[in-house]
Amino acid sequence: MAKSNIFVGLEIGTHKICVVVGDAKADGSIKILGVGQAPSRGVRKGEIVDFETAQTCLQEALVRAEDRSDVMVRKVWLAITGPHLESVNNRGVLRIPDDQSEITEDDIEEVKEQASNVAIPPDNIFLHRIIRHYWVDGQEKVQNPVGMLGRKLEADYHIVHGIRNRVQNTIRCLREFPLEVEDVVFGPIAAAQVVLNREARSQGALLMDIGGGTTDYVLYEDGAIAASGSIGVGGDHITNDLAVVLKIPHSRAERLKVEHGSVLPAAGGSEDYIRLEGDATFDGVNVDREVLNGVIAARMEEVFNLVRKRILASGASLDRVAAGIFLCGGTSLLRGLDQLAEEVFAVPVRRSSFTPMTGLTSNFESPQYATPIGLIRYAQRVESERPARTLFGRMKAVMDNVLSGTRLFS
Amino acid sequence: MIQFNLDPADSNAATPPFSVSVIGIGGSGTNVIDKIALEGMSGADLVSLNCDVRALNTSMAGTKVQLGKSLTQGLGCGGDPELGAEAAMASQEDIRQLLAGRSMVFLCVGLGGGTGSGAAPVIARMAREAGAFVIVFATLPFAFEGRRRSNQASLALQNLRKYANALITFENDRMGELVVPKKGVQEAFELADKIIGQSVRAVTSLVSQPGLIHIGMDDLVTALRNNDSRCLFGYGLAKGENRAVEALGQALKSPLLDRGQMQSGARNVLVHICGGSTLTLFEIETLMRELGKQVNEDAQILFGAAVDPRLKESLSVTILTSLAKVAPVVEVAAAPEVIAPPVVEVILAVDNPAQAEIPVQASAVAGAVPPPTEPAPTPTAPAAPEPQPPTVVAPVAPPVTKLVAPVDDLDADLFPETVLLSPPEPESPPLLIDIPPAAPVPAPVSVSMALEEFFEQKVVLEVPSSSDVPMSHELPVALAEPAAIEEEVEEAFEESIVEIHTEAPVTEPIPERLIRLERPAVPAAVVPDPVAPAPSRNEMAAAARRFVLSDIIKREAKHAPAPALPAMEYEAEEEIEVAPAPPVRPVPASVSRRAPDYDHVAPIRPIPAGRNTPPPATPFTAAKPAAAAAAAAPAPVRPVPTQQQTFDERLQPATNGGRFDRVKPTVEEGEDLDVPTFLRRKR
Repeated sequence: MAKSNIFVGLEIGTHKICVVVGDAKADGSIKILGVGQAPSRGVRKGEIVDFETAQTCLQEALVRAEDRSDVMVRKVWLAITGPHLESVNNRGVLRIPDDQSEITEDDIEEVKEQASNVAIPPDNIFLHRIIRHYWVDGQEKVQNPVGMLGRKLEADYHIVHGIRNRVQNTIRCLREFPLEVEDVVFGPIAAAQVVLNREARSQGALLMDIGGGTTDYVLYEDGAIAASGSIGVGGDHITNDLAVVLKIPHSRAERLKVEHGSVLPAAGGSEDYIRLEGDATFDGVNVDREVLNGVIAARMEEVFNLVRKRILASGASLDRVAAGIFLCGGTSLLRGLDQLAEEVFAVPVRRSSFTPMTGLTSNFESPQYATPIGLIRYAQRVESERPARTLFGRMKAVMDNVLSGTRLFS
Repeated sequence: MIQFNLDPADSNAATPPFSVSVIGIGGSGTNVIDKIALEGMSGADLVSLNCDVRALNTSMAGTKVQLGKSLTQGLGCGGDPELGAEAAMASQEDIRQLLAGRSMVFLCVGLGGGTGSGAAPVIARMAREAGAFVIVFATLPFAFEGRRRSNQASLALQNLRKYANALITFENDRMGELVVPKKGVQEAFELADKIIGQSVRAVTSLVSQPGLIHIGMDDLVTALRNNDSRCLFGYGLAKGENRAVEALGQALKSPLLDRGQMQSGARNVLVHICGGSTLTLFEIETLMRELGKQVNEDAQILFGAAVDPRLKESLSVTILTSLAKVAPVVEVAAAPEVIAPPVVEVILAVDNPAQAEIPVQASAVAGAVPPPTEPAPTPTAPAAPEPQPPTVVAPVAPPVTKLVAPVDDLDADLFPETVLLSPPEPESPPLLIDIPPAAPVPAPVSVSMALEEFFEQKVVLEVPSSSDVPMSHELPVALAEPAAIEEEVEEAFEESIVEIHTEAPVTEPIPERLIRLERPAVPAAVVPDPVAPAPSRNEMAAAARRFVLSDIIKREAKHAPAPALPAMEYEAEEEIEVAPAPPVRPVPASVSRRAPDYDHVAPIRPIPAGRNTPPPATPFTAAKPAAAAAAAAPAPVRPVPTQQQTFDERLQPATNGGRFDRVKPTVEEGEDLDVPTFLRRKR
């Protein structure tokens, strides 16, 4: 039995705060030990705006997770999102000196530095620098160039950056518990770890995490990230739209959305009106189903179009998304959303489901938990690479990775 | 190997014509000079130039020059670059003397403040004129010092660009890269100064020392040849086994060298390697190969190497390169945009080019001596401005000491008439005659003589100039209550002064003015005698008067000739209050269309009902076009104000102040995504 590693994934979402405690075995499997979640307050569009309230909610979620998993949570892997996060692809080029023919580890580091030489706004920090492909002397898509012979080494990196203060604020909020933040991960990248399997990634897939406050996406092409980003529109907006248009209280709007909402004009119950009963502060109204669905559909269609535009603007194309679009996040549970997405993107759409977990997973297969569980998978991968510094160790780690990957995803 | 005479003193003696000056300007420049002096610098004069005597006294520079002795009276410039430039001009004799015959001049300056930003371009110009190769090390202010300072700095930088052969900038914000943030502030600043000091020393030795592979002025010029004189600099010093690579690494990490830019932009790279007698060919080779990876393939590398026994075991690398960009056209185009406000242009139009310095002096004096600047004798300005000053001043001016003496005499020079008024009565002919009616006014002790005179003139004014409505108004008030009037008048003056003060720097592109300022210096005969400055000051006073008058006239014209005096006053006051309000509002409006409206909707509702006039409409209608104009480029302008309000109305009750009121609005392609798509589509 392999040595086990316990990781904790934390996602502070606009709608819920979720803590997942998982046990990552070295053979690549993950056992979920416990999940704690609490409705989130004081978070808007994926970012904390009211620290005290958010901390109270987080406390609640943490306590639940600790109770269920019997693990003292001290270090967490944090998923963040927010419209301030941006991504860019950049290529670093390194000429290998004449007297040196073989590409070494140092060259890899060097080319990474060069690729990171992107003009980002002064307030921003790098969140991720993910290798996409290496090119040696123009030869395409080399997985690991160390030890190869070549004159010119190029590396395509996908760089995610965000506003420093916003990222740090969240971390600071956690420090007060105290919770140590092991690493900060861009939400959809974490989710992709579990939602997209190896095959999907290499065929090309688009993951859309439609959450409460933001819609995050990550596009894979040829097994590597081609684009990612976040749009500050999510389920919260739908609720707000309903409240505004139908002139009903916010809480009612939320319930209406969950119970009756759909993006398909004809879908839903048989009656044309939904009766909302009044109470002390609110006179009951009849809600026209057509209006209800129209409001939601207009919003979601707009979001999908935005994602599409963003992806095309970043230079990636949707032609190579062979595996299709994977929807996750709470809002993806909306009725008919997959059909709408299919109309907009003209690519097959599935709601994500993932199964490579053991333990309590059956309760948490819902797409809402993709990100926090993905965090654990991400943590497992990073950790497995971490001790490998020497050439041999690193190769071993890569091999491990490959092996564990195949076992997991095939 | 050929034997060199490596004694630096001798080598310097052998090439006497090559002389270097290192000049620190302003507070931060002086600090750099101190640092260089502390670490020792042979073969160069260290000069500190500052307006502030106190800072100058503690400086360790060999030569110290106080700028603008009579202008600032030994104080600093108080952050006013105009004053700094003026001070440098005032001391130009001293400076030119210093610069004479120098082959190379380093200017170390901290931009953003008064002395540095103002004086550095002037001095750089003088150095250039003296035939020196000018290298400027400019420190840019911290971001937290505010936009005003950074604007001043960038303006100064633009000017420096024109005059400097090489301009190396150091951003204070990058100081964090030098030291661990927790370390002392002093250490950080010292290190920054040290880096500049190192650079100065490195460049000097690079050119002045004999080398195995010599780099001369010509190479330096080639390396730095580009059209905007911005360049990158790196210096590294290391010892030990791996010193070549380490030194290069240090040089590449230097905060003055932007590595990414060097890789992409550099066309000519100058590299100088200097080592003790243990320097090996192998080291040079490895170093150059490493460097080869860092620069563009087709960049020309100018290489130099020297042996300096003083370095002993260490090895130093100096990298110098310019950024070859084809950008200057844009910058030139950008400059005129900054210029504009029409108000002062009026003055400029009135003055002939020789007096172009007038507004500057006005502002300078206004800063130093606020109250006495008053617009008094208008009649002199239109009637006979040119002939009068010389004749009147002639008797007063001859005592040369007056020019040098501080405040009192300064305004005496400014307003020769006032001086004349008090002691020698018979001399000032027309003005005095008009006094009698004003004489009975109970002159309070505090009322300055200038003020008195002001009243007198008003009496005179009523007759010739029909346009001066306000003046005639003020007279009756003056009779009624002198104290109140004094306040009011002073207020008016202060306003006008403030306006001159703030507008002058913007309106006048410094470079132009500098060029003009230069002109009087050329006819040598004019410069030395004290009469020359006097008329110009006189002119300035006249200009100020004209300015104030025209200002008041304009203001009155707007409000028509309302006969009732109190109403007039009220109107005028409102004018002043309302004017600044609009610029404040549009800022949030342009940022987001909706979010700030939450705050405004509530207060705005009741107001239209209460007042019959629609005053709130003004800020908003004023704001809307501004916002629309800002958003015009990306999105079609379509917001209809009424509709916007209905949305706010709807949002208000349902969302308790807005679900998203505390976050940045999501705006995509000019559309506020926080507004329901459904409603936006419907529109």
